[in-house]
Amino acid sequence: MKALLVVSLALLLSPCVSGLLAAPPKAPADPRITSVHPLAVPAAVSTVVTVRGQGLAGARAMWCSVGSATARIEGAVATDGDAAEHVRVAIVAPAGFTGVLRLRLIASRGVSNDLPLHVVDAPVLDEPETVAIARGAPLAIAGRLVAKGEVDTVWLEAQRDDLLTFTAVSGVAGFDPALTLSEPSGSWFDAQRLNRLAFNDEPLHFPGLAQDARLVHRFDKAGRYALQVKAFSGQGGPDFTYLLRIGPGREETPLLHPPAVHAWDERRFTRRVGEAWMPGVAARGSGEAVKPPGVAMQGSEAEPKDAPLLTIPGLVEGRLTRPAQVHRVRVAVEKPQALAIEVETPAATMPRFNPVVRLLAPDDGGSEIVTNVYTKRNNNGLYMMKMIQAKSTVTLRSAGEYVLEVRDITTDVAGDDFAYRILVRPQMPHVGRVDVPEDRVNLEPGETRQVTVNIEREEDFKDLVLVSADGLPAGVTATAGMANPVERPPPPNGGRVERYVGKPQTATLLLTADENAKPGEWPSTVRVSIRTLRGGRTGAPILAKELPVLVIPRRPS
Amino acid sequence: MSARWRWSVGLAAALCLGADPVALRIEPSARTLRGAGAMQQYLAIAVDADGAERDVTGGVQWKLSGSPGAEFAGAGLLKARQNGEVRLTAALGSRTAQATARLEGIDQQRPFSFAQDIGRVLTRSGCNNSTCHGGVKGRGGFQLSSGALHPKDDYEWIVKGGEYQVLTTEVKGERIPRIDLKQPAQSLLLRKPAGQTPHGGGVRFKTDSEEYRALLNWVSQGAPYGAADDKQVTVTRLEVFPKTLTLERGGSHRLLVTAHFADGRTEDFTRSAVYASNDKEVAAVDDDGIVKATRLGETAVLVRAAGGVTSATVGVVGKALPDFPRLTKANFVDELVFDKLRRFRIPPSPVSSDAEFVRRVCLDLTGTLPPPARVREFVASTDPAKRSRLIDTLMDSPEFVDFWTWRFDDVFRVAVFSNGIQPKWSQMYGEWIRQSIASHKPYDQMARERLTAQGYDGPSRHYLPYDVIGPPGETMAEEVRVFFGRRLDCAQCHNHPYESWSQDQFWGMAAFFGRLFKMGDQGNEYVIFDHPRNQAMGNGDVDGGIALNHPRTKAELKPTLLDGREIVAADGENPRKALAEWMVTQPYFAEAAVNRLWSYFFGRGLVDPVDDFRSTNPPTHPELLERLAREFRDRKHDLRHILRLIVESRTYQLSGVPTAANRDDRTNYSHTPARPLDAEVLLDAISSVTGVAETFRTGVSEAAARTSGQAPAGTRAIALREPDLFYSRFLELYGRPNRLTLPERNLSANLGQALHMLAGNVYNEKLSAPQGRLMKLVQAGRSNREIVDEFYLAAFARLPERDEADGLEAMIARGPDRLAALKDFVWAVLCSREFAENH
Repeated sequence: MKALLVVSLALLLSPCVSGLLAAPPKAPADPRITSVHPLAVPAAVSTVVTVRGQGLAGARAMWCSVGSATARIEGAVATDGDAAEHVRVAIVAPAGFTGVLRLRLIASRGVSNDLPLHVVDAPVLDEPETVAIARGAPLAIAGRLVAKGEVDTVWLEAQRDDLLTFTAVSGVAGFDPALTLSEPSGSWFDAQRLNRLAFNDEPLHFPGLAQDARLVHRFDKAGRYALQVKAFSGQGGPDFTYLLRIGPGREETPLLHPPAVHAWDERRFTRRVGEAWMPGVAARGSGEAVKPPGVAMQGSEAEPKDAPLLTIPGLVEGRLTRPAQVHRVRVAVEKPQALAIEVETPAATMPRFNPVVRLLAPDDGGSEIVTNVYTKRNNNGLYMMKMIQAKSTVTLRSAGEYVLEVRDITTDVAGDDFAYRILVRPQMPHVGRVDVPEDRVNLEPGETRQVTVNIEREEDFKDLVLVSADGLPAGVTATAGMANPVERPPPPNGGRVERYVGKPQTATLLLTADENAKPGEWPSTVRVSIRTLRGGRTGAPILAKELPVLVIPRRPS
Repeated sequence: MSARWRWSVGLAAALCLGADPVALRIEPSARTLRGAGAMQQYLAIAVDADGAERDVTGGVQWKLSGSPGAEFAGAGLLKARQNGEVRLTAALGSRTAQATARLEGIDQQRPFSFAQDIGRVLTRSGCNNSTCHGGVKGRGGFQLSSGALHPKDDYEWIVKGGEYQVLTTEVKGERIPRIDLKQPAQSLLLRKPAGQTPHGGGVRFKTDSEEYRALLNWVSQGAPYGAADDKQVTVTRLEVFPKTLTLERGGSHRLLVTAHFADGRTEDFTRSAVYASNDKEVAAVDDDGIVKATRLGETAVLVRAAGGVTSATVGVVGKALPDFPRLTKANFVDELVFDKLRRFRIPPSPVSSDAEFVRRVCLDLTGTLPPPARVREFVASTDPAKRSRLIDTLMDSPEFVDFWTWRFDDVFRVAVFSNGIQPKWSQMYGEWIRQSIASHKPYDQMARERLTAQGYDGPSRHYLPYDVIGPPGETMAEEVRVFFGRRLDCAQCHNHPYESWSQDQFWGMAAFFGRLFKMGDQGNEYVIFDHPRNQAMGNGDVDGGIALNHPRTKAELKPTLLDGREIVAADGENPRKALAEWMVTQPYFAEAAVNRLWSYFFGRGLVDPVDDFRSTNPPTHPELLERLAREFRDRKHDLRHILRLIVESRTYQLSGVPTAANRDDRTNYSHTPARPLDAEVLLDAISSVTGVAETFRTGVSEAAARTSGQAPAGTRAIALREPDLFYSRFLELYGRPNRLTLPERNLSANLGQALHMLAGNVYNEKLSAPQGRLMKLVQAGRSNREIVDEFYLAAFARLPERDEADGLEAMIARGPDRLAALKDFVWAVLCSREFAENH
């Protein structure tokens, strides 16, 4: 032992060895693209876009989420003054296609992250000074706020009674565009002053919500108007790209919640819990056929004893159009059982409509058995904190006629769009959300990288779960790994958290490229999936993610 | 300056003083005296030719007629002996005046009341003065409520001992009764003030005094409390006559104090009250309520009795003016202001010049300097209605909306850290204010929306200081301060030491905010709601409840208005709605609002500070305050209407140049006081004059600046919605508040400002900017005189006087470097007081 210690100390004291020990070799940086400009292109027309980012050297191709789109790198990668690089790419979106293309750049260090490129059915103008509004025809303007505090102004001619929708779509995360519509009516102080007619940066804000700005305006008079785009808090830079759409009429107000990131998210108020929901849940668990709920019952304002009777599984729906309105149904529970109560808000949703759902005991007092309001205590001061949840679980110990009631959390706010749908069903153990945080994998020969698979076990799901990766490139293998578990003791004042969240679990796949693996031209799309295992049989695969994996040349040492 | 008023040569008032008055009257003119030993002080008031009133009580001949049931015990002091009715006559020279007195129940003793009878002794002797035992912590282990404000507490502390505890009703430590029922004369309550036992407060009365006897009798009779809630002994308010009085230097006037009881009765409390002058150098007051004028000025005399406080305003004036200007009055503001000026013998300055007016009104209504071309145009106009037209133009301007949005951003605290630490939320809140101003929303509606805010709308964000729901007491105190102009904060821990706000009242009001809750966790989706009282909503999961308890008594608090009315809000109701409805209909609401508006135009409120209404801080013009408030209510709380009334008044339009006769006036609006421009307005003015917009960045350090944002070019300082996000050294130096607490702007000059003028970027960089006004004028080949004129118009809204222009031209021509000399000139303009003030 003593000899070993001496050797170890000698190694540490050796300058070159201690250097090795001090910092493990850094993994080569993957290419990263930070913006695409212009952010929009018309379909079926070759358009040159500039893709900015880092690690773009050797860019040779563009990968598009829509296979029929084509992209060709034009020229060499150039270096910008701000240590970034850019490359020009000629893109042709398929004819007839409108929507979002996801673009990845393939460079010598592998495949990049993806960014959106909008394909529109209108000509795309590049920050024009003036646009003419043709009735019924939408316009698309691609722009960029290159400097901090920059305000892009587009002048437009509008006719009296024109109803237009203006939408500013951000090209990159962290850029939050704001729209202002003004008229050059001046003032006593300044004849050139632009006077604001409408300002409608998105009215609601919380993390994860779409940042796009939308403004709908009906013009009282014909004239020339200024539409301005700026960044909230005045950010700016070469990556601050945007798409400004001007469309006729009133476009549908987007849901307050952003589009689902995960294919399956049963704890979002905006998922559909209609008739097809329960079979979908069953497919992620036992796989057995389930009896879906019947036609949805209407919530009633009647006193509990007169409220309609719901049998399990059952759906109840309604609209809370008046402040402080309360809807109720009685719930027939024939035997002690474990229930899940799921709430959907198909129109207005949090934080505008915040449905509070309570299941009350059959006793005279109607004591609260469970609510979708998750209550815990803040460990800094022990203040009570409350969050409404789209799903809650409860185990009822006795049969009887319970009462389910729903209302908005406020007493003063209501609306025609305060629609709800509530599903009361038996608990069905299953796998809930499945998630792979990695975005892409670039592997040098001999290199191993980690792919993390997170699942949530719902409603006491206890079965084994298989994890697999299909479609690996030649020379790449996947093996199971065991990451160092993260110790997260339950918070001391966490309340009945088990009612409101799934039980998280993490698996690790290790993708390894052989020493002799040949670098690929294109990334392979690897399907990372899970399956449940029950009675020796696996269930249907549940896709976790399609992951681009590319073997890249070894870096010269 | 144009003198647009007419001077009247009236009667030479000075000659009339000391001569026969033009009228004589007695105050009160009729009064009923009740109970054994009832007394009433009458005052004889002489009215002179100039309208001035004098107390001649001691100089008139008093006579009684009618039934023989009363006698005079002093000059004008009537003492009742038996039931009946008497007539009093006062005679002075050829003038006589009469008054009547009904004498009732003279054979009946009034029921004993600790609050009234013992409280009076404690108050008159100074025992419960706030600097002695009436202080928050008492003195020497013995506590009394200030001015016998809370007699039940006083009784407890005297009879049983103990001291006030903030967090409990339990008495800690040894309780030392201050009375000895077995040996009454040995009571500490007697021995200490009589000097028989060492007493830090010295001897307060002698053993043969009326006070000593009253206390000794009370202890000897078993120290009863007497009538507790008897309307006969409950004083509801005090009244002092005269409310406002003017005295020449050396003159004197007796105050008459009347107590109003809960049963509708009144009683003379002139000899029971304690008097104190806020400024003894201006006027002193003795124990009998006789005010003596010392030097020119104005002060308030505070009158305390039976737990109540009132005050009289005393103006010490010079000799009567032979020619007091007869002033044109635009509206009731002028009637009330000029009336007081006349009574106080302060001649107003002439009406302002057009140049003076255009700059002042533009800054006051829009926070914007008038452009030189507009100044020329306005001054040249011969339209007699041009001032009104300009006011209309300004109030309809977009700059007006910008400016008043900023004003209310300040009062309502629009700031990132005050609104949930989310810039989007401060923007939402600010947008609500902007929309309210732009759409002429009545102020009571704004108050309702802010007070009752729920959900996820703009005003609800103000309930999230520092990302949490603020403590109910603090939240309530801020609302009361904003909308009532009153500071209840002291009453959070103990009954208010100087006002009649009790701790119970404080917590009763706080209970309206006791159910205020936020839904959401860690910065997202914060929805404001009122938690139901009878629904757990998961409380059982963490063994919690939502009851708000009194910090001392631990009793569950129920929402209770300041008037004692308990509000029961069902679970489906927002309890703050009842509070809001009540608040906006209270006189306090309108008074606080108009007072705040007034302060923006005159640099001080009629009550000042504007959010410190209290009986010991009376308004300088109570009738004007009441009239403005009434007008505000009658016009459905229209902010613009009040603003227009103010700026259209002659009072507002008087010159800012004082005369020798009104130079010392600070509170009577005889001339427009010069007011430092608010930091944001000053910075915008500098940008306007130099023609170089300021750049506002969100980061402070170089590192932060790389990732931060920048306000769009040309953004004005008043448009910055997040003072805690956009740092500006200039704005900090000139007193911009960060709005983390209710803003109180510090407009006083400091050394940092001087250094910034010499070396700061704002003053210096703008002078050299190629796109600036100076460089453009130079490049356009304009002469020195033209440049001087242009900058004078831009900065001062006037052309230079001849000697100014000559001197400046000579100065610029003298130097070897014309451009440097011109920059020096512009720098001097920007650093001048005339520029940095509104006047």
